[in-house]
Amino acid sequence: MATAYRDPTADESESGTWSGASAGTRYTLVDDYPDASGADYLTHGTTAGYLNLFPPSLFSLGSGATSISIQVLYYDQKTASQACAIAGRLKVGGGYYNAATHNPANGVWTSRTDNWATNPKSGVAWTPDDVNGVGANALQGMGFYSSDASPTIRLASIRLQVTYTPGVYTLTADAGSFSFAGVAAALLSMRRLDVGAASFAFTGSDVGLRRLFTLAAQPGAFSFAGAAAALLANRRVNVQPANFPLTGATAALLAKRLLAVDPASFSFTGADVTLTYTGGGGPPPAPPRAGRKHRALKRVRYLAGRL
Amino acid sequence: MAAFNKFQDFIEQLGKGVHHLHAAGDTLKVFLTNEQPLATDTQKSDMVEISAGNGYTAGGEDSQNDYTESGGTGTMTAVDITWTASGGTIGPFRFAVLYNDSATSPADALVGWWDYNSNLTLQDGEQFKWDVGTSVLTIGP
Repeated sequence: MATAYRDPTADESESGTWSGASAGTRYTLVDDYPDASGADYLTHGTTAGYLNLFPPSLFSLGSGATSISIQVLYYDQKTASQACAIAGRLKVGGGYYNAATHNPANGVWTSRTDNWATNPKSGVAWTPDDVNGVGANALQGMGFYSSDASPTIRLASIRLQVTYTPGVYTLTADAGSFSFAGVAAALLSMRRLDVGAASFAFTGSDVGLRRLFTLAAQPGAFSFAGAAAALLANRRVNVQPANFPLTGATAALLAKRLLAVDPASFSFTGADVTLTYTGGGGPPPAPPRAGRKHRALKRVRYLAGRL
Repeated sequence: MAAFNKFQDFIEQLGKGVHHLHAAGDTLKVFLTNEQPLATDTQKSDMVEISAGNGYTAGGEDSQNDYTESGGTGTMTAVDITWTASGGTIGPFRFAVLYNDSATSPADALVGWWDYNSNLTLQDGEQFKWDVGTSVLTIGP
């Protein structure tokens, strides 16, 4: 719990009999709380009444203050043994609200505390605005009230106090969240493709080796040139045995490659060749048949051996 | 629950290695201001901090930050901070701002802020609490 207080700095109004200072300055004798020994004091009576006093300002509780109560603190005594009755009071929202009166001690300065746990005007708990002097139920001042001021009553001091639980303000901080999104990587290029000799396939266009053949004079040794091949780009084709050049089309593998074609792996279609003998006189002589003579001699020798 | 608002520059400085959010790295502090932070602010001096005194220390308070990673998500944690007005008032203020007190370029690089949504002046004895949950920020997928 926390407390704050205000001492009076001005008179507001009064009734009954008051002495010790002139009207309008009576607060000066009771603004030194606690003054428990009564260094200076007001004397009230024998006509009962009230004295209303102003504080310099009201309180400035934060809006989060709770459990608020108001007290009027003062020191009093009476000057004779007969009973009398006095209490503290509040001014709230233009009205005056007295605490329950008590009979002061005779000749002994006694500390008094009158407490208002709720706002006497609104009838509900004090709000920060109430004690800060805001609104229709605002606290406005403090004072004394007597219903019996004979014998006279002495008042050494008075203080307006607020007791409260200070506000606790909480900023509940939500967490920030950061996420990262990567973009799709184009893993479609800049790669090295190691292809085994027999493991990749490609499509070549048909090879049209259709013309421009030259028949060589020696059988089997002729050479020819092929037409443009379907493997049109950036390739080297080693073709055995004729070693003819050709041009490839754009390959499906999109990159420069070395295509080594085994002699047996490349096929083409050559045109039929008509071999025409143009020697003189008649048909060409039949090739010698040395084998028949040899076999006849061998037969004769066999039979001679049998005989 | 007050939402976390990031300073745009935090993202830049995070990528440039200015922020070291783990406990052994940088000291991240929280200060109070009544000036509306802008997402484009970059350093603490871009705002006016409340006056020091009555329980408030210039520069704010250490959040005791730490940073861990789990399952691909990084989490920065901190502890609650409470200011108590003593001998007078603190404020007025409205915003709590998290910044990197260790950063030198930019100096006191900003991270993020939270809005209390109303101006507040702490009276003597009153408290203001920056209450964080299990994390202050997460960086993840």
